[in-house]
Amino acid sequence: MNPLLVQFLSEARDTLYDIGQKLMQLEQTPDNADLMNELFRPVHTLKGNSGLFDFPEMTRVLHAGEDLMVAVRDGRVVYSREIADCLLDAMDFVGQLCDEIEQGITEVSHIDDAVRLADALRKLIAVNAARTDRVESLDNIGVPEQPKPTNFIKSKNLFSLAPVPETIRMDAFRRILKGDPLHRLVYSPVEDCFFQGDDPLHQAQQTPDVLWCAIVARESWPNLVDLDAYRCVLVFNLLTAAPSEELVELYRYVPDQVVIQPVDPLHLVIPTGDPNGGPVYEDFVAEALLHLDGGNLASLGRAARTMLELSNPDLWLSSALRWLLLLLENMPSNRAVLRTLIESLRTLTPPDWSLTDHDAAEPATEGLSENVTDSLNSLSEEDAFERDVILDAQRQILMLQDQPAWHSGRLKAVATTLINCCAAMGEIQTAAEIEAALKTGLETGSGGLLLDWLNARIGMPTLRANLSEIVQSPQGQQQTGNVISAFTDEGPKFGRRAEDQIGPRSLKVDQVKIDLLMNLIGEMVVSKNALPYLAQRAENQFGAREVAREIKAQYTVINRIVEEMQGAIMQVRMMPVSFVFQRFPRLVRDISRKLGKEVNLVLEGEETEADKNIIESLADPLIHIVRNSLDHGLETPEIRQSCGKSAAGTLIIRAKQEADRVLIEIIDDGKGIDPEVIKRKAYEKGIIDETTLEQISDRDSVNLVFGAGFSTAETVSDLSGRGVGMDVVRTGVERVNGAIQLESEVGKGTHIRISLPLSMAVTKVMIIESDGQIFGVPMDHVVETVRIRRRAIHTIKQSKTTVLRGRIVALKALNVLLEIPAEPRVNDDELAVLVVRVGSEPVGLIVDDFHETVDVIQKPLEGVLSGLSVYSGSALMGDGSVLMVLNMKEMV
Amino acid sequence: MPIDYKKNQVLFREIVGVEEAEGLLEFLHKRPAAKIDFGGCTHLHPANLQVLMAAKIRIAVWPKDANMCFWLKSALQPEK
Amino acid sequence: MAKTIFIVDDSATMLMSVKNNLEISGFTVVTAEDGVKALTKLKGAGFKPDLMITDINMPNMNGIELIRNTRTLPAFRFMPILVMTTENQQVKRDEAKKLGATGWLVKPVGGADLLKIIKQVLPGA
Repeated sequence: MNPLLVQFLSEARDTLYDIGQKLMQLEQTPDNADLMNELFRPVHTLKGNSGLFDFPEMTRVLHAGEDLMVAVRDGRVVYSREIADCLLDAMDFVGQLCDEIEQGITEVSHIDDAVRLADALRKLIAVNAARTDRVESLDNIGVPEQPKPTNFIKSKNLFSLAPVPETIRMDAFRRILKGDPLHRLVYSPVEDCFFQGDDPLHQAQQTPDVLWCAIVARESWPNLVDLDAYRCVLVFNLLTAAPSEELVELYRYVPDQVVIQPVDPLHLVIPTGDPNGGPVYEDFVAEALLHLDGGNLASLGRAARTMLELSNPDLWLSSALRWLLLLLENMPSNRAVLRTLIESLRTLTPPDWSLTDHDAAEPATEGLSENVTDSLNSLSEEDAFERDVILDAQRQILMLQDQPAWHSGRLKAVATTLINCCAAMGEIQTAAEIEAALKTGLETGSGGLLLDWLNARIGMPTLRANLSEIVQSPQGQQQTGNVISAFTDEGPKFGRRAEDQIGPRSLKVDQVKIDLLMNLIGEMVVSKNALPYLAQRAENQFGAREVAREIKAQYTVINRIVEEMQGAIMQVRMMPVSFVFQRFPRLVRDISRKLGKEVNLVLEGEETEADKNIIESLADPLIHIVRNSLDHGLETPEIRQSCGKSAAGTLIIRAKQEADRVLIEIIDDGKGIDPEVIKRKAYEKGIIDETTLEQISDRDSVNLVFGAGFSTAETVSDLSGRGVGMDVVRTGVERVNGAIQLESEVGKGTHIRISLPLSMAVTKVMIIESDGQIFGVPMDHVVETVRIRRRAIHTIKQSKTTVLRGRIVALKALNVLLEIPAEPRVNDDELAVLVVRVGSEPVGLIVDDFHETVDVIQKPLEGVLSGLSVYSGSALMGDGSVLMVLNMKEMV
Repeated sequence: MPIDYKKNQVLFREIVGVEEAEGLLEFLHKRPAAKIDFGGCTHLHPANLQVLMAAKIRIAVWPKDANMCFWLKSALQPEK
Repeated sequence: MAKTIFIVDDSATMLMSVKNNLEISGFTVVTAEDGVKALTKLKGAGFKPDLMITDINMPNMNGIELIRNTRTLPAFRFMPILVMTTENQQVKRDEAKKLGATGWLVKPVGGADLLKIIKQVLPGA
């Protein structure tokens, strides 16, 4: 997977968790504006990031979620549980997509879910906005903002084109007639623009197709002493052949500092030059007008050319003649223009084209674009721009996603505007189409059809995709319900700790690498343990006492380093219980809402750390216990109040470290567990016999819930029941050498304690021997080692027992348990008995001999061996032999 | 250094940034007769351009870069 | 000489994406995760980026505040600053511009568009 995607998925997980947390905090304090903003941020970030990839479904849902959050943040929509539900569903969906992306599942399409979730979210904006009756502004509803239009000025000329060299003007003139867009552009940067990081020269230089430019000062230059170099007084006057859209795009950051004006070709027709003593060309003017009026343009051209050849090219006259010839060549039918230019020779003042503008220029244009009949396209550029602004405004109105009381009025207004706009463009026949769309729109209460019409009209097919999000489906709400129930019990699997921050101080390391380190250090411990054997051999076999001593000395050093290294690696593997705790706020919230209960969840000691494996193994049992507490322990608000308790129950989940163990407590103040009920049930299910039923203490009987196949629920609920009981919890805890205990008081509540080792990487085992083989017994279970005389062993009902410190202890032969066909070895009439405790009663295990205790790295049995439940794992010894570690719980 | 100050000449090289404008202004104030050599200049921040315009500086060498030359002439060589 | 671009965003993914794109184009890229960290870097000796690109929504100090603070530092009076926004944040863009931002980008911004925009505000890029 590419590193960016890996980073995205990792961040997305953290972000989703963060969002979930904040949503729930917000439920407690719905008016907290800061929190609202903090919630908006991660949604916004996630949406932005998803856009880096091609995940349209994810982006669609996040986009809708972001819009909803904006509406909430801006106070247009009131925060509610409904909104939280909907957002949480959306985030679950995103989480699911992330999982699939990570697993490389790409073929499954979730577009239906995405559309449904986005619809549900958008509906909340609309519904709530109508309810709160607020007027919304455009920037808040997720409609893309249009850049503010750059100023277009039609009438007044921005700057005189006279200083532009004639050759450039003539070139420009020809280009306009060829159909090129020609614009005057005036860029007047604001005085403090340098302090906004602007470089106006660099900006102006990027203007495409610049024919001419003049950089001038807005005011006359002061003396250098008084000059402020950093107050910008420059003005950039440009003549460009770039289309207006390109100019608007280029100057998008400074729209208020730019004015763009299309150039009328006639405005380029400015004769310039030496007047040579004044107007003395009356003869020529009279002749030229004669030709013009007689329609004899060829003669007019000849006369002009002759005159031009006789004149100094620098004269004003020559310039005018050149223009005359150009006009004759390009717009010969436009008599008024030709006349005006000829008559200007009488005064040697440039013609005032503004007087002839509309009479003269338009027929000329018409002549150029005879074939253009589509009224939309024949609009002048400015008109077209204005039309686009109008149409776009209507489109934005139609895309508003609220449903105010005045919705129908709004549709009518849009339709009227469109009809008038079309009429102004000479398209009266389209009015019927618009009216039809309006009629349907008013009936269905949706502007969809009008929007469709408009989009087709202005050619924005891409916007149609948005339409499906906006048009509200009646099933939207109903379908959302399914999503809630589709909430899976696992919750998202967080790959990393939320607290991890990218930064120089912490690294995100792949778990596989840590596991590899762990395995390597395990092998190192084993190899190191071979050194004492070597020292022994050196001394005993080769008599090299010196060498043996040196090996031992080296061993001490290596041993110390290895131990420290092991400790360091263990530290890396430590993770806080918050890894597991973090999912509870959401879990408790969802379940309690479903059950109609009110619960205050209190989490304590989330920073308590333990080995990664321990923490991970804690997740499932803990979830099960919490579900049980919510389902069976805590009562509904009504029942609680009738018992004189507060309506909301309290559930405390607490973690703390005690010596080398982690203690997890789950405490609720619910109805507690009735030992009588449990006892009877256990008896009915055959878990205890009649004698036990009578003798068992209340304390012990409540712990019977951990017995296999025990379930107190009358009906199996889909929450905690699922047909499995607390025995699964106990098994889960015991698998990592943990212990679980339950205390309960009827009517007051239940208190469950789980005690776990800090680390399961290293296990201290005692080595025992039986029938020439060695086995390991975890020290956690070992109570004591004793040697018992054969006659101190009694047989009661075929079971061997002995009395130790006044207590009867059952004895079991290891050989029998392991089905080894050999009798226990007897030394001096004594049997070696290892007293172990599994559960409450101690049991004596008859073995052949005891050996030393060692630290081993236990590895679970794999493959066919994994079926051997009497062994909890294997470990490699220093001399290279394999030690099988016995699983005491399975054996006794 | 993007600006090289000679006795009576200023040499612009490559990109002359906005921060240079103050130094340039100070120099031209002291040496009003100085000419400018744009030969190696590829861009200058307009704060510098303003100073040059206000000082009505005389040009010794126009930029080699044709585009830069076009723009500088549009500011420093008003068409008469 | 390679231009240095300073990117500020609280999303590591966004940082990585923009950084990759810019480094491919030959820029030197420095990053910070929020406004406070960015400001600390800007105040550090010898750090003089040619352009700053900042996100708006960030914890500790948002982009708008960062721009306001950056403009008070004499060394960065004239530095071009671009804000990264989403398509519907016109109000934020205006606010940022008013406080001294040069322009904006619309997220998500692809490599080619990013380069085009940077070239527009950074002479010699």
